Amino acid sequence: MEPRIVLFEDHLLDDMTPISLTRPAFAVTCACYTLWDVARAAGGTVSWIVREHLVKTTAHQAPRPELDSSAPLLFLNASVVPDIRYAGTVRELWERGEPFVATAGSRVSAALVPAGTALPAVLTAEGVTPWLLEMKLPLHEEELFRTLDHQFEVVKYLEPLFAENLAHRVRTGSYQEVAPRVYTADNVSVARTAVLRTRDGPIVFEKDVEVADFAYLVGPVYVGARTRVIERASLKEHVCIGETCKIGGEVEASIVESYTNKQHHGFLGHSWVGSWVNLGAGTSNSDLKNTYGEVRLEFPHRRVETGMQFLGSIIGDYAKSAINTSIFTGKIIGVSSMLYGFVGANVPSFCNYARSFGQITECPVDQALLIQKRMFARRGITQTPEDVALMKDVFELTRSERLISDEPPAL
Amino acid sequence: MCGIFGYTGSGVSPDALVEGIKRLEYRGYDSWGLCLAARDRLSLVRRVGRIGAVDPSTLSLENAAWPSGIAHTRWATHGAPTEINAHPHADCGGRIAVIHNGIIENHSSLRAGLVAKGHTFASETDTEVIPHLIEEILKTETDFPAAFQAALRLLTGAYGIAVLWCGTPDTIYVARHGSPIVIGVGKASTLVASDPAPLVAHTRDVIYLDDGEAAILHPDGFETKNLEGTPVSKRVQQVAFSLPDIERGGYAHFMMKEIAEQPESIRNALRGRIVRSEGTAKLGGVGDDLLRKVRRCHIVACGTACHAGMVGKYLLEGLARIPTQVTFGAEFRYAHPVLEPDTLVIAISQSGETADTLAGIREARIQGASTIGICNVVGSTIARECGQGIYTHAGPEIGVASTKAFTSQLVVLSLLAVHLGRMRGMSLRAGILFLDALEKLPGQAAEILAGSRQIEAIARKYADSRDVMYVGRLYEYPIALEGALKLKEISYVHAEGVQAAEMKHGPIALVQPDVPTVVLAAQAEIRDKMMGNTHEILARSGKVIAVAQEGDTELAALATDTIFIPRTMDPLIPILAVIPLQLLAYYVAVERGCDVDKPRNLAKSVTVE
Repeated sequence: MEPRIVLFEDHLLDDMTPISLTRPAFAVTCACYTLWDVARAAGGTVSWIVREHLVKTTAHQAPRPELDSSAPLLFLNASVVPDIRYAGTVRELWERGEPFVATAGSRVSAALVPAGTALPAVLTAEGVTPWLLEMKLPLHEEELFRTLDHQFEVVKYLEPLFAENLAHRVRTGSYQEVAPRVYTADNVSVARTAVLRTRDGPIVFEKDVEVADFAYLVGPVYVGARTRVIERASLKEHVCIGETCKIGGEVEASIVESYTNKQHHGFLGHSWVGSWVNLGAGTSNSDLKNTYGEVRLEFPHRRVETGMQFLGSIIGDYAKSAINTSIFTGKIIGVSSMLYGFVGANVPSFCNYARSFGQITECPVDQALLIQKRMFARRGITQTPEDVALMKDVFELTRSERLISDEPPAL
Repeated sequence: MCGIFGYTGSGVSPDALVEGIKRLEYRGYDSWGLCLAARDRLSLVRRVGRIGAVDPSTLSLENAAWPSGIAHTRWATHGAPTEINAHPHADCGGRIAVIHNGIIENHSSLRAGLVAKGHTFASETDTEVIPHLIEEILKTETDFPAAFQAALRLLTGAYGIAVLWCGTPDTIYVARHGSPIVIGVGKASTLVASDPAPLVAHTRDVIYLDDGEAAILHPDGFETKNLEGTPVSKRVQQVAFSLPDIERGGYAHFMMKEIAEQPESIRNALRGRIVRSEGTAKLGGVGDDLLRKVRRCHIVACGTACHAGMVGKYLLEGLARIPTQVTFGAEFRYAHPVLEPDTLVIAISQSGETADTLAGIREARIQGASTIGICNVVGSTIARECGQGIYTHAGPEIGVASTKAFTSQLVVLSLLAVHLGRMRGMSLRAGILFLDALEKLPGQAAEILAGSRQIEAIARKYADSRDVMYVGRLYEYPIALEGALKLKEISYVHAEGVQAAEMKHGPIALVQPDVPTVVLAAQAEIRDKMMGNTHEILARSGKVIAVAQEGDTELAALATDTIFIPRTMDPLIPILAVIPLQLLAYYVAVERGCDVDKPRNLAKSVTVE
């Protein structure tokens, strides 16, 4: 029999904002894999339980087999770090069949629910962890899985995971090694003048990738299907680009999710950038403090020590930056926000942030939807009622974030 | 712990009900009430205070024959001892009256649902949900016994219940889950009570209901069922005890009864407070907003409660990493305590009336610190003046030497520490392991009590000693102090509790062949150090009574006598390790012919400075 895996979200996702506002935690890319990919690599069937506002859009993208306890079910927290080595752990735990519950910090990371267990009629994201703990399954002595507890950890885990995850892709995918440690899928075009350095890691291009003249890539680098690397772009070490992106300027140790444009010059370093983001020409972020000290994240009423010397920005889906936007070290930019000038503070979702010009205003959800529709059309995608509903839900979910911000928008 | 009494058949009157619950007053005495049933009418009386002095003729009730009646003497758990909170509690229509002993754990959610359906609650008690719940079910279920059974199936927690419904005025509906219920079978009457004390005036034929059983009492008999409605056959037994014996639960002294009650009192202190799904504790009486801002704790207490506080310091510092200080109540005011706005002052007092502790919290409030009380008596002065707090739910403690109240205080402090710990970075796993260990304590306490005979034999062996030393480290040091205090107060033997490492700085000079030392060596972390102490005492011809974790054969081979306690986590060892010391003190006192329940020169509650 094949493993039966259930990826479940829990109630501890607030600190993953804005990354997890618009996608399930198992769909967050880190080092060229999501946890969904890792679970699929374990073999068998993968089902999921996500927060209510994500159910419909997730169902469009991932099949959801009915939960059935005729065989043991391996519940895996959707926030588990997408480390491909966990695929083997998951499979082994399922095959061993011994019931357990494992924790990581303050959350349940995994549990093996024995066959024949009566499943609740409805299992919600808030309900899974209490249900698993109330069953009093044996507490596993080891931590087993690490979890992404804060948004900045997506960047923190990028480098440690990159080598193994990329090597697994190369081993299991259909690529040609067109040059030493340069792997390409079908129909990849790399300009003769492009420079590809692979001494410290491989470079992998998915199908239909175009790499333009004078691009300079230093592995390990992963570039998703249909993405265009613009002329003179510089992608340096631990760069992971999604599908259908346009990437220019200088990018270092960063993740860019699909359908995002960073077409022009400007530096992006040690950052995570969501989908459908557009960074205008000259947009740059800082990833190192002048003091060379640890980067701390500032939130209303609390400060989070990251333990990282290099940390750039976390930029939510649909965010846009104007020309020459400068984002300070370790700033969190919310979903559908628009940036102008200097960005010296975290920006809540749905904000027009033009602090340099004295203005921070709320970005109406209707405007965000109009922009979404226009962007989708450029990529041949139709805006669905589910897309609209998700945007409106996220707008409501982030209302309080705008109100308690250090610099609340003028409403 | 409360007392319930019900009576159907010939001879039911206010006099008879009052007489019945007077016999149960040792189970609770902060308020009382009774209800008499007639066709389509219930007459209800409730009062605050002891029932002892009440003249039934002043109750404005017809002292004639009534078909049935129920009465209750209360030991408050939810809601202060007021007339509104006294039992019986009635439904909106005033047709159903309920008396209850125990705690309904899901009362908040039931209450919210019933309020949403239009029910109006008069009291703050958990009990009041029961009559309203039955009333609600009766909207769709015409058969009262079926509605009663359906309501029982919705309750979680502990209960011994008696219910009157004016639709069947000569019938009493009773049920048991976790709290005792005894049915008395008379010639023309049937009775119910929490224990046989009020029954023996009417009959010596009784039936003990088991958990999950219900009964319907008529004047001429009764029927017993389980919660699913299946008939259950019960055996009639003869009560052979005298009245004082019954009040002491068959034990020779209240102190022994209370020692033996600890599995139940520990369970009651934990009841409804463990949230395994979050690896933490739920402490309804203390707001999380207050606990989140705490940076320091200052525990104020006297006597045994102060020993609990000393364990509390280790718990709060070890689990929650909050710097904690413990001060005797009498010293607190005069020691110029440094209290910042984010200091939490925790007052511990069984009675809630301890004068020195009370003065301490008043001083703390003047200085602007937040205060919480850990008390056993609901609505007591300390509980009220602190504003927030956690009740220990140990039930009335009659014996002057505190036993079950102490272990309940330790349980509550453990719950507070794990809750604060989880707020401050303690992992979910650590929280769950701690809670699971807490849940095992009632069973482990019962295991220790099952070995009482061995402890009695050890007590006899050393009963003639003039001096006894108790030594321990870390979590067991306060238990050494408590063990010595127990021995002193009830057996009048001089005893000293010493921090074990301090022995060589002086007290070891007292070691002689006729001065036995109780060595507390159950903690894993410092067990080897305690082995060293044991060697030092034995090398000076001292005798060692070791309290060790089960399986520690190495220590047992070394010690003169060994008492094993079940394995648990180090922070919870005090809760188990103190029980053998309570038994040791008790049996020594009995052997020496001392008045265990009323030791000389002492009072139960010290309400003077």
